[in-house]
Amino acid sequence: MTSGKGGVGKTTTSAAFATGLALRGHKTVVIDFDVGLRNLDLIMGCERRVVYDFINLVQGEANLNQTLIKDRRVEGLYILPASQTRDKDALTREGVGQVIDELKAADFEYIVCDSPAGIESGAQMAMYYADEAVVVTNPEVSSVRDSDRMLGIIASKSRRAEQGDEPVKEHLLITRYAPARVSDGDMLSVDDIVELVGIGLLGVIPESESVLQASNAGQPVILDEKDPAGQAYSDVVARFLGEQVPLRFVEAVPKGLLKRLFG
Amino acid sequence: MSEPRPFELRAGMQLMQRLLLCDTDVESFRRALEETVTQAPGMFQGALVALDLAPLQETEALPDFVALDAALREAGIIPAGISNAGPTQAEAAQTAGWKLLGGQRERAVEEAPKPESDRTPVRVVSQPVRSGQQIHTLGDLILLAPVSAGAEVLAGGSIYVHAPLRGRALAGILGDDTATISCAVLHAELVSVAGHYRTLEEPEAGQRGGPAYIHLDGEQLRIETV
Repeated sequence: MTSGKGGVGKTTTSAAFATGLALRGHKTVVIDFDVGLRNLDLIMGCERRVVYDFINLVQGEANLNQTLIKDRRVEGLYILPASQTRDKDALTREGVGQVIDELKAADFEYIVCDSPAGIESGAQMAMYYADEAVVVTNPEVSSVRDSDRMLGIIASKSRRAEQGDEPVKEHLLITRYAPARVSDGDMLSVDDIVELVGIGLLGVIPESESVLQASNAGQPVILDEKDPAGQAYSDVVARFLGEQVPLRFVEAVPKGLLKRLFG
Repeated sequence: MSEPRPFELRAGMQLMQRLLLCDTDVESFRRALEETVTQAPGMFQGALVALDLAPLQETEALPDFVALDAALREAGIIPAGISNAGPTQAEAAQTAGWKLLGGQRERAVEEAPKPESDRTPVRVVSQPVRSGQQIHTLGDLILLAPVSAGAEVLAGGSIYVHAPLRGRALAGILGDDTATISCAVLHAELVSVAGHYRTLEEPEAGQRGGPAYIHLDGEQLRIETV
């Protein structure tokens, strides 16, 4: 999960996506690569259960069993928290590679890497071993440009690019989409973004108040089955797993009479 | 039952320039080289160059190969070897430590010379050029995928973008004022031919969003809709 730009919803997406994969019976781990700015544990609601972290694991100070936090709500979901006290240089490519190999050996089907913002070493470390990349983009020009930059880095600096293997599969995920503001011309439309970025669309997550509430409550938004954002994330996971699911929440809902009268 | 191989062979692309040697005077060679390199330093730093002796074919003139090698290396260029050398030239070059590249004179004489042999190779890029990336070549540049905003494409010759052009495109960067830029959709931030540049800040009627052809008319950079 990457973007270049900060604040677009990478961590929210990582949490929802990993939870969605586990809900469908896939053993999944989500890794927080944002060393020094640990957030994923808060959004997953496990901040008080962190003992060892990703850096301890990379440096061999703790083993996988000690470090992985098992989610209490969803079977087969694990969290690998970042360190809050170290900085990003503590991650080494070899160390990260070793941890990923260990996770594969422990039968994890999906390893979701939550990238930090930026295009420097932390973000490059998160995408280096990737087989697939989800580029999280907000419907605004600066976010689209940063995503484009990140796609260039993935295409040239990932392990697959360096070894001349099949390129990393790229997916576009648009978050914080507000159809009404698109029809008012304030926001870029889905079609605009897809044309500018030029990769396949994995899904569109509507702007929703419950995302903020869910973050603060430590509850991945995908667990809220009534919420449009939660439903949209379920669709995203289904599409990622190869199902054909139509896009939802991309058209503006006409205001009802009362809303029109009283705003 | 195949043993692991000690290496793997992969198709690679290394831009190799051909330098046609027209004169044996090393001093003027050195001066001209310096001038060319100053114009586009990034392009020659660490570049592979084959020294082509075709222009000296008639006379079989013997340049000072040791001095030529030194001059190229001084300019940051890596001499790959010589081509189109006659028998005496080849011998002298080898003594001076030069490699002989495929296609020496005997073969070159037998085969009909290719008509476009003195053109710089065309570079074709089929992947999108993303924001922050830069693509350059000495010859013509053909792009089959979009050039994003914040990306830059540069060519010694002309640039053809068969997709939307949203970044910067600079043609004729070595001073060729006959170079042109054409693109399927013009949304460029900046276009330039032979140093005459223009930013496209404000949409000008009929000049953006459609196929366009950009060329130099005297000192004036013209953007024509197609």
